[in-house]
Amino acid sequence: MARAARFAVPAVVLAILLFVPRFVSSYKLLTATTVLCLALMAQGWNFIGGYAGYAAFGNVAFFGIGAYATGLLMLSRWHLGFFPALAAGAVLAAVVAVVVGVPVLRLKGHYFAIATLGVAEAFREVAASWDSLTEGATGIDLPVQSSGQFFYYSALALVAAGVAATALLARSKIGAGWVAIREDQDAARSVGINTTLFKVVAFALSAVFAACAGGITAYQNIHVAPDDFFKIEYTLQMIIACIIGGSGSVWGPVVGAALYQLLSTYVWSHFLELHPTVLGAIVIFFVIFLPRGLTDLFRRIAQGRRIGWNVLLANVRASRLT
Amino acid sequence: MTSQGASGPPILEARGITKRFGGLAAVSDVDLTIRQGEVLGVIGPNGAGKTTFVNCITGLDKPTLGQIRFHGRDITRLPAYAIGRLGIARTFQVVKPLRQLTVTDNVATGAMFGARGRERTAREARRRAEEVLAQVGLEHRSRTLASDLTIPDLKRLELAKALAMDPELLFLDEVMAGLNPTEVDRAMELLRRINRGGVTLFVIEHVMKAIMGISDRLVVLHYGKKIAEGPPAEIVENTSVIEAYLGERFARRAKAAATGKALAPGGEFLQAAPPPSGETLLDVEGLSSGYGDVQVLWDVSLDVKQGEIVALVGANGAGKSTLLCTLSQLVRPRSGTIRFAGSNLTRARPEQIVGAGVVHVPQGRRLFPGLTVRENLLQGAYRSRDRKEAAEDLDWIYGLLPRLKERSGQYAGRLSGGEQQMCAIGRGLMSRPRLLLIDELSLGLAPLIVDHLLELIAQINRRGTTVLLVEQDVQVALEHAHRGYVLETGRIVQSSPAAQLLQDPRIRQAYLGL
Repeated sequence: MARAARFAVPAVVLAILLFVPRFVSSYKLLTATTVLCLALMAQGWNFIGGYAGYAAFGNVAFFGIGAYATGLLMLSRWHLGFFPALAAGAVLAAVVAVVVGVPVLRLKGHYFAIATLGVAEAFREVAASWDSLTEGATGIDLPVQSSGQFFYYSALALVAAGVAATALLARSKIGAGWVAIREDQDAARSVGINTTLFKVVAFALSAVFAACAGGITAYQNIHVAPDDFFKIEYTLQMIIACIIGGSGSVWGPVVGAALYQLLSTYVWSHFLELHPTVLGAIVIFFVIFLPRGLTDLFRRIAQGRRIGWNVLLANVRASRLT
Repeated sequence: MTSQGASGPPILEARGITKRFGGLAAVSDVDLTIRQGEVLGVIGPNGAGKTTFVNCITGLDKPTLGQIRFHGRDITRLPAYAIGRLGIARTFQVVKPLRQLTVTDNVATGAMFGARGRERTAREARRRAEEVLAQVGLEHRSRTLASDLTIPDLKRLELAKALAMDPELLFLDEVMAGLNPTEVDRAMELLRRINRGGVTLFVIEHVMKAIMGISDRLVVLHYGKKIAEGPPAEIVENTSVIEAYLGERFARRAKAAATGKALAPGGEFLQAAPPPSGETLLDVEGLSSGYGDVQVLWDVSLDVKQGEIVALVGANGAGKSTLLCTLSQLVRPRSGTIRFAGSNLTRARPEQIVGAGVVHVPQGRRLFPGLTVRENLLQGAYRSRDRKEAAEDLDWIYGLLPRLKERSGQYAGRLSGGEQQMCAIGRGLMSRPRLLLIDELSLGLAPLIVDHLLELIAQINRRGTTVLLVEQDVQVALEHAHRGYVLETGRIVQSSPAAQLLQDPRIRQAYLGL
């Protein structure tokens, strides 16, 4: 029963998502694509932040690298197609993640978070000042692709692949190694886990996902400029999506991205001036009462356990005492 | 004694191992050979460098100088994970469980990445984990989250995780701390079985009965240097070992353990004040408490009189720590009353409890790792507004526990396990308690220090502090208490003067392993 549901539910969700473009306006489709891109970024962050437990605060760098690489390769004299350019951007982001990750992933806790923040800022500066390549602050203009469905289906395919990849990795030795690193790095080393390698792999994977989201967003927006693509809001959004959905879980990032968009839209329309305040309060609510995210709540319901205030309060107690 | 004893070929040779932290040499110029199939015991005072030595061998720390060979191959500069995969496993004294994972998943990581990890899929590793859990007797906890285990179970989990790595050589860093004598017997049997299965053991332990009974050979470290090496029966006669580590009282016990004779009981009872007939200080009636859905304490009633030392005796999981935690309000009582010096503290907050003069030295120390020893101690005087008084108390603590003075500027997180325990007790005393609740006094401490601390407790008791003591070494606890309560599965089943409990055949069988 539970096993059947594990495959049936995703299949139904996917089927519905496949038919969405037939029924919604092009504006709504654009929003849906944005959600999917956020889900992609959150899926990537989930590897390094959720599974390996390293709070990366600079993943927007890979989003930007993906965007610029895709755009520049399409505009270059080779006139690469979108997908080859996107793939090349993802590879480039992974390479950057490896080069940056090997030194930076030695840092722990806050130090790692601050270092990644710095890395992201550095890349923004590079994009803004390397005039001969990136046209500086003006940015670059990509060829026009007018089909909203094109972006939607591209992003949907990548998110679906991301769910499958996360599910596989989570059950593999790599996933077990990441979780061991998150829980106790010395214990992980002692049982024979090559922690540096595992962390770098997680970081590189997170870069690939962010770069794909960046490439799609770039092509959809036609224009890529440093301040639009290297802004910290993207990093925050992917972390928030991951946490409210449930970090370190397969569905958490996707559920979280959808929830974030719903909340954000709702709050915009009801609290126009207090938008950031209210959204912030909601995020705080999640961190305190549902530190393991919405998917954890779903899991409890699926297991037939009763849900009430006691669950929320137990979570509060659990998070306060550790 | 094991079949191969100390005569097998060398499996690991360490030459001239030195490890310096800043100016401090935690290990200096230690030569050590571990022979295939033996059980090598390592003893030494707290902070002698035992754990640091293991860290150097297993790659978590790199030795400043020296060379390590495993089966003749130089492994000195190999990273920790590579050393683990060669078949060298270890447990951690300050346990390092993967808290958010189940017990099975914890052990499965060992099976996945250890010496034979490459041969196994993730699923096969889980099966292997179940086997190992059955071997160490933890199978009934397989689905429990590691964060919900008691300390002795966490120690067993450490052992299971290391065993799942299929090691040839296993370093055990105080896996028996916190076990009562009967449980120690079972643990010794388990280690012997593991050793007979072909695993060479390197055992650090302060439980004399265990280390003397199980080791083929002993090595003694003191201030980072090797001061003695030889069979247990010789080591217990070594005067410098007695002076540095055992102390007179425990030397007798160690000799008894090394020669396999039972120690004559009731040799020495409390020499402090006679059981006082003072007024009741702590009065507990019908107390129940627990965690979540699990009730641990059932209708517990006990009283402690002014000036008494009362020992609380019971098996692991009987609820002793929970009782202390309930008294200090770290766990909320569900029913019953707690009265202290006439006032009702049943619904008080933890800080009010401290304010009333009840101080709890918790199991597992709970120090502030990012503060220095001195700062940790001063936290104990947090409620006292008088700086001069706090400074005097600090000097008093330093006088009682000179090791803390030597370490006063160091971060508590960098202390050795035993030093952390001293620091926790020191911090408790800094609050000038009227009633001191001590959970596992001897946990991880060298015999000489335990002796010293017991003397210290007798001393503060003479000065008027009342003590409620939880201690796995039941004999030691009862020898130093006026009265004892026996707790079984959350209920008080017996209460008598300590001397009587020590003579009680049932108690002797259940808790003293006699």
